[in-house]
Amino acid sequence: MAMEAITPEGFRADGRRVNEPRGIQCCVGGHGREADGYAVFELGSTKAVAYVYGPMEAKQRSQSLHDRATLSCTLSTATFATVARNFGRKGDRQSQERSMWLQQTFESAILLEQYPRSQIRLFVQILQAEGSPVAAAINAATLALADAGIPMRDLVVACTAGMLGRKPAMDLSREEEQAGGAEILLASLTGAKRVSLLEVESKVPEGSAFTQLYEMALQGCHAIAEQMRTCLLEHASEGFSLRKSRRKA
Amino acid sequence: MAWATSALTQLAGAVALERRGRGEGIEEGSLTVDGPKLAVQTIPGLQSQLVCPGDVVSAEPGALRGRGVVERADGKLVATTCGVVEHVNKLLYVRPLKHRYAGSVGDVVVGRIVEVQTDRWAVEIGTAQLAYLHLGAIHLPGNVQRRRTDEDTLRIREFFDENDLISAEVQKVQESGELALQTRNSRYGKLQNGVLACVPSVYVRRQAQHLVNLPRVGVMVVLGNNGWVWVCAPPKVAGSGRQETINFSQMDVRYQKVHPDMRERISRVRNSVLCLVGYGLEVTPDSITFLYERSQKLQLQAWELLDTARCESAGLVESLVAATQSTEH
Repeated sequence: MAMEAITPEGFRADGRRVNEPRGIQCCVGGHGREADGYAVFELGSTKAVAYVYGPMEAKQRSQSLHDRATLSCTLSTATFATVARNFGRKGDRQSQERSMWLQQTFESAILLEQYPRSQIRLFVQILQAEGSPVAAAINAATLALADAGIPMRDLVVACTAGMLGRKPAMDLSREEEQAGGAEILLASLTGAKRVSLLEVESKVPEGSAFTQLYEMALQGCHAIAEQMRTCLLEHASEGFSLRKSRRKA
Repeated sequence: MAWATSALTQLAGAVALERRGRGEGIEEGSLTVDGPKLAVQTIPGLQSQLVCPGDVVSAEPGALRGRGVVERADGKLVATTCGVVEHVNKLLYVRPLKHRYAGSVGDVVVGRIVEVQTDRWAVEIGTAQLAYLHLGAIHLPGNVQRRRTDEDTLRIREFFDENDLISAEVQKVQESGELALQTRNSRYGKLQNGVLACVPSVYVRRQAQHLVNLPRVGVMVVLGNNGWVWVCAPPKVAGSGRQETINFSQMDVRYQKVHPDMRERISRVRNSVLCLVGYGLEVTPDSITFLYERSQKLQLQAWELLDTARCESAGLVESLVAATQSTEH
């Protein structure tokens, strides 16, 4: 492509700087739903919705463990989420693999030993994939788990970073992902300073490129975590205020 | 490649616009916080007590950590759920906004039989694990007092079958967290002639009476601590027919045709329960009766209680707010 990925002034194609994530919108909870936890997370125009059921009795006896809960995750992509209409089967390779990432990420974060012999079921669907869909899915799942009141060590927050030309940039959009530079996906427990998922699918150039990408992704995680925290606190504040005013009555 | 460039610039413009639009939206949101459906009074000092998973909970040395608090690798105490931090002397715990019901002894629950085993029933009550009701822990029909025999084990489905709804009391919490139930009281047993409303368990607080005949409404409600609320016609039994008498047994209540007028009242009570929870209010006999009578006065149909738009236009919400505020001052 004739155009530079980053303009000389330091702007990207969609007007962001390299260390700026896209606009974030989250929506947590809501009554009249059957699920225990529910959340929608939007990262720019990438959108993911998550539902949490449980902890509840395992659907199959064989799935329950005597000392802790089991976690089952399903990550799917809606048919209309990508540019090309994708009529793939429900359990195709890619979504199976991504479901596995999600499960491993959250198994280390949720305090599963508090609910022996039960099961927590997590369903995430990517409604619109406009770059970094898995990061949005992980963030949506975190919010839904927090809404369901499931104990976690910390908020799990995910962000991507990639090379645009020679410069590392945070939170890639679809066009930037398709440009073919190196990209990493990082999910971390920001407060505890721990990493729960690091996915590097493309080849990262030698030298300090990986460290730069990692730093950039971590910075993105911190920025997103702050907004997710604000959203959760607002939701909790509203819920408690309503209940408290009734309690006095 | 001119087309590509123009397409990209167009896109960039669109995104920038969208982001600006969002920014304005957020501003608007914060402006209208004062006037949502139910005026939310901000509680002084609440904001500082609220925590999210992973937030460090300030603690003086020697604090005991309770539910919802864990120790991180660096020795700091952090919250694990979203809620309010509470101190009781040295104990530090987090009261979550919403959680699954975890039983405690003496709670009245409403549950559904999911499995019949040789000498016990598995009951779904919305907990992390199924609860169990043993054959020896039930009240036999006709208030007979005797040992359970092998014959009773063979007739187990005559007492409760799969998918039956029952009211029961938590007898014991096992070490594994499993609950043992009992219905050894004439007021517990199979539930008939009514409808079920399921709400989050935090909305039903422990109160003096959980099986209540609503006065002035003429409907009976069973407020399960697990958040399942059973609304039914007051049971009539052969004999004196009074629930308070010694001859009454919930086990002897049979299916009967409920009069349409009573059905209407039952559905209005059920929808009142759901409406209360929709506005974040607790479910008590008083609050149900209040909403029931107010909705009748405002000439709302029973089904209209589930429709927020209709509730608002009829002024039901304002009266709820007024009621909560007048009792506060």
